[in-house]
Order: sequence, then C-alpha cells, then structure tokens
Amino acid sequence: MSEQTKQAQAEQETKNGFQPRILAFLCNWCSYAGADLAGISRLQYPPNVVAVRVMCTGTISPHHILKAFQKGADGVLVAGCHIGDCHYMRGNFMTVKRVAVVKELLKSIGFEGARLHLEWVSASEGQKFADLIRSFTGTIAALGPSPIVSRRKEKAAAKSWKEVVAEEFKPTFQYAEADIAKLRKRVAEMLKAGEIDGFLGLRMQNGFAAPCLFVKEKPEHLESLIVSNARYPLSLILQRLLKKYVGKTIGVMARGCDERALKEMEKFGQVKPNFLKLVGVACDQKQADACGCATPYPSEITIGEKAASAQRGAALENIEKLPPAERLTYWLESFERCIKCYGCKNICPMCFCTECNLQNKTLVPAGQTPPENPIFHLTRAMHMAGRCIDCGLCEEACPAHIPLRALYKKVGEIVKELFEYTPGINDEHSPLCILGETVPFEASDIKD
Amino acid sequence: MQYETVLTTCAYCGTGCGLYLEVMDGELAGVIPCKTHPISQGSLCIKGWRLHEFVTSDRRLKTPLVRKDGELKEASWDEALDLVEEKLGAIKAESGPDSIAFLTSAKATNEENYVMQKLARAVIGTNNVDHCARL
Repeated sequence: MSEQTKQAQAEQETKNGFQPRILAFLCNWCSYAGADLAGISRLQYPPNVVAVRVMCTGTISPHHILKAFQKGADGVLVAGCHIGDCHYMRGNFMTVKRVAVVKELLKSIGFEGARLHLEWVSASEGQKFADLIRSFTGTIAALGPSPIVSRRKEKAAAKSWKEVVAEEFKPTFQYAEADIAKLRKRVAEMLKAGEIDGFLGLRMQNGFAAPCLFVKEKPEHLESLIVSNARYPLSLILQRLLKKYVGKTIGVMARGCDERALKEMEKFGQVKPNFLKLVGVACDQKQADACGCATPYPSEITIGEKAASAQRGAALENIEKLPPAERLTYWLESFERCIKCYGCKNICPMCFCTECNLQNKTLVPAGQTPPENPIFHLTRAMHMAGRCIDCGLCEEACPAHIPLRALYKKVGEIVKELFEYTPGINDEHSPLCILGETVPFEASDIKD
Repeated sequence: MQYETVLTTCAYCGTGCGLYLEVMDGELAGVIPCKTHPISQGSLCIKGWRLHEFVTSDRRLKTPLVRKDGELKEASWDEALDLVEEKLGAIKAESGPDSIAFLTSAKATNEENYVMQKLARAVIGTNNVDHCARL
C-alpha cells in the first residue's frame, strides 16, 4: 500500500508540482527516537517533513499547531509515546484531548481535519515511523496546498462581507412594570434585613439601563432599578466587586447565563458562593430564541416565566449548511474584519486569566490589524473550549459583527460530543483543565 | 462600597461612541460600553476600551513645560503664556503672520477647536489652521 501511495504521490507532484510542507512535533522519548531508528536503519521516507523535537507532546500548545497552519504548513503531525508509556505519566492524555478539540474546531470552520494527525510511535517503531510519514505525506499531497495559504494568494477576488453576514442580533423584549416592582421590593427587603451588603443590577439613567451597585445608603437609586433587554456582564462586574470588597455579601440580578458564568467562576476560584446571592430573572421566549439558549433561566426564578430551551441559533445552522470550502471563506472573511479591539475578551465573564495569550507580544504581533487570520480567533475559540458559557456578550460587543457566538457555540458542541461536558451546567472541572486519570478515547478514534 | 457608572462620550475620535466610566469608591475603575447607545450600539474600539487609562497615567502632562538650558522644566501658566506671546509676537513682527501655523486636536471639544481657530485668524491673522487627523 505504501508503494502505491508513493507512486500516487509522485504522479500528483509531477502533475501540479506541489510539494507538501509538513511540520511534525515529535516527543523526545519515543517518536524522536523512533525517527532516529528509521534513519539508522536506512529506511526511506519522503523528505517533506520538518521535525520539531519536544520533551513531551503534552507541552504542545494548540497555539503551536494553529501557528504552523497560519505560517503555511500543509499538514501537522503530532507523534508521541503510546498511552501508558508517557515519560511524564499523563502528558499524552492532555495531547489526545487537545488534538481532538483542535481537529474538530478546524473541521467546524471548514478546514480539512485530516491535515492534523496524531499518532503514537514508540522508540522501537522505526518502520512504523517511516510508514507514517509516507502515508501522511500521501494524504496531504492528495488534499493539495493548505486553503489558508492559497486564500491569502487569491484574496484580491474576495466577496464583500456584507453579502454574507447573517441577520443582526436584535432582541426585543420588556418586562412588565409589576415584575420590576416585585424585584425592587425583593432587593429592598434583602438590603434592609442585612442579607446582602449591596445588590448589583441595572439602573435607568440618562434614558439607558446601566449597571449599578444598589446600597442601603442610597435608597433613591432603588426607585430606578430596572430589568431591560440590555444585557451587561454583571457576573464579571460582580467578580471584581467581590475581589475589592472582601467579606461583603453581594446580591446580583442573574439570568441563566449569569448563573452559568458564576458557577464556572466558582470552579476557577474567582468567586466564593457564600458571598453572593442570586436573584433570578428568566429570559422570555423571544430572547431565548434570539440567543439560541439551551437554559434561558436560572435555577431559582424570582421574576419572569421559564421559557423553553431554544434551538442552537440560526447563525450556526446557516454556517453549517455551507459546503466546507465556502464555510472556510465565510469564516476567513469574518475574521478579516477584526479590528482587534479585544472587546470580546474584555466583556467575557470567563476571561479572567492574569496573562492573556492574545496579548502576549511573542505569540500575537502588536500593532497588526486585522490580526493573523485565522490563528487569532481560533486561539481564542480554543481557549473557550470547556469554558464558554454561551452568554453571547462577545458577539454583541463586536464592532465588526463577527459571528463569535456561533463559533463558540460550535466549540461547546465539540466539547460536549467528545467529553459529555457543558461548562456552567456540569459540576466538575472542564476535562481540558485537568490532567485526567483516564482519557475517553484512543488517538485512532479521532475521525476525519 | 460603591459601584456606579457615568455615561459619557469617547474622547478619542469624532465617531461619538457611548460608554460608561466605572466608579468604585470614588475612583475611576474602568470602561464598559453602553449597550443601547444609538451610535455605538454596545461596541467600542481598543481606544474606547482603554479610555480610563490616560486619566491616571503618570505620563500625563499636568503643567506647562518650558525649555530652560536645553531641559524641559515645569512652569506656571502665566510664565508659559508670557513666553508664547513674546516669541510668537517676535516671529510675527519679523516674518509676518503666515509664518505661524496652528494645529488643533480631535481629542479637544468643538468649542476648544473654535477658540483655537479664532486665535489664529483674529489675533495672529493667518489661515494656517490644521488638525491632527490630517497629519
């Protein structure tokens, strides 16, 4: 079979002169030694692979894989020790989980998943290494040059983004005056009883609803407390307040998404549940449908009626309907509009890392707009895997109308499918954050 | 314990994006976009998101500086303005009003820019007025 592949590859190359460029990450202990053995044994394999030796495949950040594609690699190969043989005990457990998500993410934007391949090669498997390089080079040769690179060349012919942008997100709903009065009364009671030291909600000011911390000292503020269709990152503000005012108990107006965010923050040690009190507000059906929200209500509802779980959202449905090549064009054009305002990161309740990859000048060159396409947005999407609680504030804050929510929704679906995990719903930590004792699948289970 | 927001307009360019400055314990703590603002509709660019930073920046100029012996030194407004009057007056007397140009700013208000051009045209007597957005 390998001879045939080689022949086919040779034919392919003479036809269009295409020489695949493949980057291989090899673990020091197994696969690099395997490659060495292949060399010592004088085994022949195509010269299209550039090898990068890493101490463990577990040290390969998804960023490195994406960066390889960004910089023009036609394929990326990750090879490490067999499961159970890792010299760092569980390093390759991380690898198999990460590569699976990156692969699904690439596929979801329409990029061929087969361009990323994970394989276990031990130090004694020189023959397997040579066969692997031969077959993978053949696969990539058959796929042709990376569409990211070819698109960069053909960019001049790009369509206007306005033709492609999905419907703008515009929810329209209001709560009844009686509901709002009920909320005001509830907050006043809680403040008076000393149950809470402050309440974070929205206040009508200058004709707009704006976030405000209601305190006992300013009872007049309570008269303008409101529930509006303007959604603010209250959970994010609450986290800052709880950090500044240690020991104070703060109440918060919480929709389903706010509750999910707070639940995740608690897992990451950002808030302590004893110091916060949720006053639940259920979203109405219109809002739930506009958001494509699966749980448009908190666990305890003070005002509003429980709306039915909505479908995943028209934007994602429409994008998924596109054939892969068009889908890739759609995403690349969307990302191209990015003005790098970091609004998606700034408004995200789950972005509380003290150091951000996207602000690291080594990883992301400063002063370049649009940022490298698609690595910038795929890196953020990867960081949202197992983390995004689907509030959609990123998309609402995006001046370039990039359908970020659809992208992160898809990432959420990938994580759910692979690990049966939904951030903000399941109680345990994200499978991507822990060095798990077990991995749910072998590398070979990852389908293309 | 305080968290309040103050509605304002971004001071960086002429678009007029609406944003809230966040106040915590009487101090400027951050920026959050106004979601329902008719101009910006909840979006900001990177400058708007960082609007609060220059207020407390230690690189911010708080007094006029006058160069003395080759070095910039802090000076009073009276001293600085007297020096400007003296030097610009001398240049005007020697080379005429069109040897002087006035550069205004997008970060200043409409009224401040009006006063600047008034100074140029009515006091100095030149039409050499330009703006940082064209530099």
